[in-house]
Amino acid sequence: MTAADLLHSITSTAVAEAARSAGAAPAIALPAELTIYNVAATGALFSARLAEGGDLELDASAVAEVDAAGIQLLLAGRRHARAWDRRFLLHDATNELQAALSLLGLSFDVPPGNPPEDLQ
Amino acid sequence: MTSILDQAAGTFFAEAREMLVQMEDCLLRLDAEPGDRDTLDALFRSAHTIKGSAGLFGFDHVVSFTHEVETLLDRVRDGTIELTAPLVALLLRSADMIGRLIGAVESPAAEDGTGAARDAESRALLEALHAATGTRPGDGTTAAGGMAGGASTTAQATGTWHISVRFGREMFRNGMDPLAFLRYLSTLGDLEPVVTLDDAIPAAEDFDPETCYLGFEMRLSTGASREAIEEAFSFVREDCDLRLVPPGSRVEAYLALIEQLPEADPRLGEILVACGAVTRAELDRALATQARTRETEDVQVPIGALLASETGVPAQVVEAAAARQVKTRETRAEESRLLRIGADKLDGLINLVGELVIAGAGANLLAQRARDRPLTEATQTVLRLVEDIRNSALQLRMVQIGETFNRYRRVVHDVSKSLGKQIELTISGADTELDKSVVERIGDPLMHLVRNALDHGIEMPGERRAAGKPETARVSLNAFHDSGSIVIEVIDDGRGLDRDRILRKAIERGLVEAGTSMSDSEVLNLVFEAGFSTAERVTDLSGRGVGMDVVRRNIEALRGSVSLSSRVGEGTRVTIRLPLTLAIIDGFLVEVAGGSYVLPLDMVRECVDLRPEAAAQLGDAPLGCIDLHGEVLPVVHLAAWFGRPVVASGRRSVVVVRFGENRAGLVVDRLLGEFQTVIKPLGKLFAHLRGIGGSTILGSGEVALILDVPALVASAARGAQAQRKEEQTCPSSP
Amino acid sequence: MSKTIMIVDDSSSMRQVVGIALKSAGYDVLEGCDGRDALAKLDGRKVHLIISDVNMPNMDGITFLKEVKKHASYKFTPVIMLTTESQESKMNEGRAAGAKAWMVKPFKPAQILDAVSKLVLP
Repeated sequence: MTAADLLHSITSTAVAEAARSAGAAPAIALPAELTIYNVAATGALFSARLAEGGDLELDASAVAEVDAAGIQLLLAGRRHARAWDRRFLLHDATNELQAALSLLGLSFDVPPGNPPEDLQ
Repeated sequence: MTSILDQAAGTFFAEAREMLVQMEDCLLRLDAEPGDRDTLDALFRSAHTIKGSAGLFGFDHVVSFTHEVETLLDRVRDGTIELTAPLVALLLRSADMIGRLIGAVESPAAEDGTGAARDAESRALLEALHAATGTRPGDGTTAAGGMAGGASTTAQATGTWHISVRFGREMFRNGMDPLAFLRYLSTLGDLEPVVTLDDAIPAAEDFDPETCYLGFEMRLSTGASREAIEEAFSFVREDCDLRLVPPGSRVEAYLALIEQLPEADPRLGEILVACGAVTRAELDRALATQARTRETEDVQVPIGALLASETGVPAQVVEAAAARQVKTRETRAEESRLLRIGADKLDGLINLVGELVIAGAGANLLAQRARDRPLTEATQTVLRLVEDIRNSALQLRMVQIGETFNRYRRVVHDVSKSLGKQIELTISGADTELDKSVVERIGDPLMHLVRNALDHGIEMPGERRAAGKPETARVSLNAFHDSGSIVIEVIDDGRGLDRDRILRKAIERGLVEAGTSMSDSEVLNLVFEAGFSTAERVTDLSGRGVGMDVVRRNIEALRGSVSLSSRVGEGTRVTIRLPLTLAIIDGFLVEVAGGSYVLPLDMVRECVDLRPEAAAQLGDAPLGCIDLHGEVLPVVHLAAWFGRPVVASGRRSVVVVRFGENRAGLVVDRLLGEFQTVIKPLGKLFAHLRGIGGSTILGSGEVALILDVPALVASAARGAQAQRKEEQTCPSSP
Repeated sequence: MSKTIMIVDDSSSMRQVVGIALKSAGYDVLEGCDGRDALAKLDGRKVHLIISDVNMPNMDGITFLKEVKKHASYKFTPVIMLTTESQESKMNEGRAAGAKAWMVKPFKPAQILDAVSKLVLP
């Protein structure tokens, strides 16, 4: 890496940081089937968002089907967001998702249909 | 359910008649053309279909009779029994009997009076079938017996079970959904509370969303039996770790569970809550009391004592958990001045330090070019400091291998019990340190090797006694550092590997040609080849389908190597050699056809000139061999290997590399010297490139490829072997 | 949204009984009379579980399993294989090909429903 590259990477981090504090990135929309068939693709979106310097804000309003692989992805997202010192927000959980979470004794601390206020 | 069967019964009778006609057809055709495979298969399927459907409808007479016919046909199909003319006759009569049995079910009234005669004839036929199959009467009862295993829920008094389960990594990929198992459990009773354990989910870069890392602790209030609860997990029994604590268990059961829980240093309270021994409220109250006590006086009352006195939790449960807490606290005492940080943050730091090394080298290069002496000296000082930082940063990632080794204690214990073997595990070098990411990824291959030793290596006590060996077998796990690598050994004193059997099998499998001369070590290491498996019978212990080739691949993916030595009757030693870290290497820079390549420095033994006559002999072939100090050295001609233009003129060099037991020479155009480098993995697109392990960026901004020395050494060795086969000789030294 | 289960068996009475039992439990059912027929009928359609016999004409259950698992839409779909107790070698082959759930024929409708409910709920 040349010094110019290094400088570039520093500036791009700064840009990402600025974008993060401005809350520019939209919420990631979870797929209708939050299952083993989609966790790899959805997980890649999570990683990309974290790498950009953003928070994990997830819109669960479309989730119609969920399995344990899908739930695990949410748990991993929460863990990774914490490790990177980012926020993890899940809103608009559907009944299907709520039912699965409550069976597993899990809660993401956000009431359904109530997006948190500190998003701006 | 009866109505379903009524609706479909007509279909069954029609189908059965069709199948019986098909059976007759097939039997007659086989009488004319014995041994016709397709006809035989169709015949078997007819009987199979009748039996399967009859079972669905609960026509048990038809099932048990047809079962005998099917068993006989299965033997005919696999060649154990020859289909003679008398046998065809017997089968034709049996088909008729199946028809009469079905007829009796279809219209019971029409059979009045003939039932007794039919039963007598059916018994005679069954005896004849048994005689033909070579089984004793009575063996056939498994057909009906096998059905009983289903959902037999014998009613019991309702009680609260504790269920602890850790699912296997392949669960999701196998189509199994833990959520479905939990829903199923919730139909057996009141499933509450459930605690989902996500502790095993690794850091972001190691996390694979399709791999299952989940575990659950739950309470189930039910009248169902242990069998019924276990039955819920029947499809994943081999792929999950399931523990049940029955209702009203004595405290010892919970003590055992606490000991067995795989999670690292869980807090006392969490353990008790997870066990259901205390509720969260009881825990909170105890914690609050502890806080109050601490405020008023400086003496700390242990939380265990508080719990026991406040909630009446059996003292022994508290003691066991407290003992574990003390243990974790002791190991923590040294760490108490340390911070716990996420591995992600550490990785980020190490990556940056790596970039710093490169940037520093770049600045140094510029200073040298500018011939600015004071600046050069200053940048050199910076470089030296950066190197110190690099070493310290890498130290942060180092963890002891002991914890990984300790996991196998339980495996050895469980397996020796289930196999009836007596095995003692000894561990040495538990404090050997290696990179965290290496430790994480060595677990599975190591587990496979340990299980292999337990399952196939170690003999039964009787066999050992007969061989004059102590009944208690020994399995050792050793770790130590050796010249820039870490070595892990799995040693057993079992029956050892049979060289001749391996060679026979390898020839059978087409891995080597008959008549190839090979050293003992070469033969033994054939077990790591794809498509080789020494297990004659696949057992549930050593894993299905996963062979030693997968172990080797996993280890090589870590830039490591594995080899095996063994002596019949004395035991087997598997040696794994791994790099200390995956992130940064001390490299040796070379130039090939105008491009820069990096070799890991610790694998370079020496550099020699390529003699003109050796160069001539080599020509533009990618593989060959040369003479080095009077010994044959297999070489890889890198320019030709990578399909670059070969420059025949000019001075070229041979870099002699060593990997494990093997040596090879790499022919390069120029030696550029030592160089410290950060490994950047290649994208998936380049994963198939043979001989390249990664890339890096030089101080000048140029990209250099990192050579995958183990793969190159292996290719060179194979090339030399092929050459030996052709009986060509290497050029002799002038 | 109810889940779809495919039953593949050359016995029409078996398909009928299992089909009726599954429908009464709230599943949608797709039928195939052998491996080849089942592959043609699947054709990318979403199914949540496949139940397949091992012994079938045209394309047997193990070959069908291997084919269906190659398909991106079905590679994680659970499969229950139906077999007889005498076919251990077939079971090993099927396990290697990705079938983890097995049921020994003959069985009662209630038993297959019980097995299905461990893998997918309607």
